[in-house]
Amino acid sequence: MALLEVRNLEKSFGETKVLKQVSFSLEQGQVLVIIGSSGGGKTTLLRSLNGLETPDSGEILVGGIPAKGRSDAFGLVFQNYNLFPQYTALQNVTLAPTLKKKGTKAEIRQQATELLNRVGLSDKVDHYPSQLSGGQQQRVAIARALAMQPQILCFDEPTSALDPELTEEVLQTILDLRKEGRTMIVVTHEMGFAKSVADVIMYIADGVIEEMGTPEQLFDHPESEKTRSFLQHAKVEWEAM
Amino acid sequence: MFATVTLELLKGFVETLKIFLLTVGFSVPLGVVICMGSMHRFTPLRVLVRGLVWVIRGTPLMLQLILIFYGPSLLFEVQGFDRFTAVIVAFSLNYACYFSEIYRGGYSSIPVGQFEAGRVLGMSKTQIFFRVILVQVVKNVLAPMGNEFITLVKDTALSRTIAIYEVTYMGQSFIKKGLLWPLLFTGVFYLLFSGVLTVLFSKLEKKLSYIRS
Repeated sequence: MALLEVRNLEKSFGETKVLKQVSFSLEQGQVLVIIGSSGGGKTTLLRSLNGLETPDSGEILVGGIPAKGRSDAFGLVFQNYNLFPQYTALQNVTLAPTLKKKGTKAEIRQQATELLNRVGLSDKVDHYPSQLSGGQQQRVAIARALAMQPQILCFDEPTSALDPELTEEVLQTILDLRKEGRTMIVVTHEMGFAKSVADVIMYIADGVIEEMGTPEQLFDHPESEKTRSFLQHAKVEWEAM
Repeated sequence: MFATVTLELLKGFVETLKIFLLTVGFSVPLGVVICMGSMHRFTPLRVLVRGLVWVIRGTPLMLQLILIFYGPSLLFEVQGFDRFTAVIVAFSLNYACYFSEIYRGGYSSIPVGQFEAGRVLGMSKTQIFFRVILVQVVKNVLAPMGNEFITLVKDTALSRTIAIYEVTYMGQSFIKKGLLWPLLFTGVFYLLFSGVLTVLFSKLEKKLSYIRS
């Protein structure tokens, strides 16, 4: 059975239908990368999975159980990190598990320290977000999301707000998580990265899954005309960078 | 003579200080209540509260003071407030309305991502407010609140309108005796008081300066 099962997801903002009958599934340990133009619905899809948008209809099942209201189903890493500025890196990671009583204080602290260590920030645990670079803040945000032990970790354009020289450290962190066998969903504009991290790539346009397949299928042999055209444009931009 | 004047002015300053402290004590929390009303989802309540804020902020505090002191007995023929209570009621209501707008601004400027980050981490609304948002709002409102506190120091002088013997009143009372300098001397009290507040607030601001998003 697939870990994630999304069935007929629909979402409108006013008159605009942003998601139309979106259905897909994801296996345990797979990495799904969602690509598509701005306004195509990829961020809305991610936000719906994480409960930040309420779908008009459809189902989201994680491990066969509806994801709604469960904090263990999804974790989300935001484009703008959204760290809590009044807390240190360590406190950012321990806050939610402490409130949710995920263990004793010592256990939570221990786990948070390990997570920060894993994202390469063992020397920054007592730094406030304002004392960290964008890339470091994003890695704290990843540790914070991991601390809640979500079954699926989502990333919403995790490097778009970063200077080019800082994206590498964040992308490397995500690649490391992949090696650990984490199930992840990544929305990104970085096509090179998409290719290297994805088991499955989904191209969304106008609220519809236009095409879904392995990176080879999608990048090298796209079936739909729309996908081909999008990739052509993306490739020009990518090579221009 | 200097000692007599200083003693008299000090008596007045005690009144000034009482008005200041009681007004702060009441208006800071009352401002929160008014702020919640002015942001409430229930439209009639929101309109009503914003109307009240508009009236209070749009009319002179002196007028409100006179109305609150004389109003009840002249309009409704009921026993009104005593002088001091009337001052505290008028000042607290007036300042609470100003504070409510400062709070509203401080709250509205919190990025929506802060709320969303709390939500995806499974925190409840209350937890998000008290553990994430509140301190950031406090930081946001500190500078404008400092301004208002200093304004309040000087506004206390308005209470002489209904014959409260605060420091300006005491200073002025020496004019009858042909002395002007006691009135000028009251300025020292105000300056020292607002100086202390300025230092206090800048210390607080410094303390919260690590909070930067």
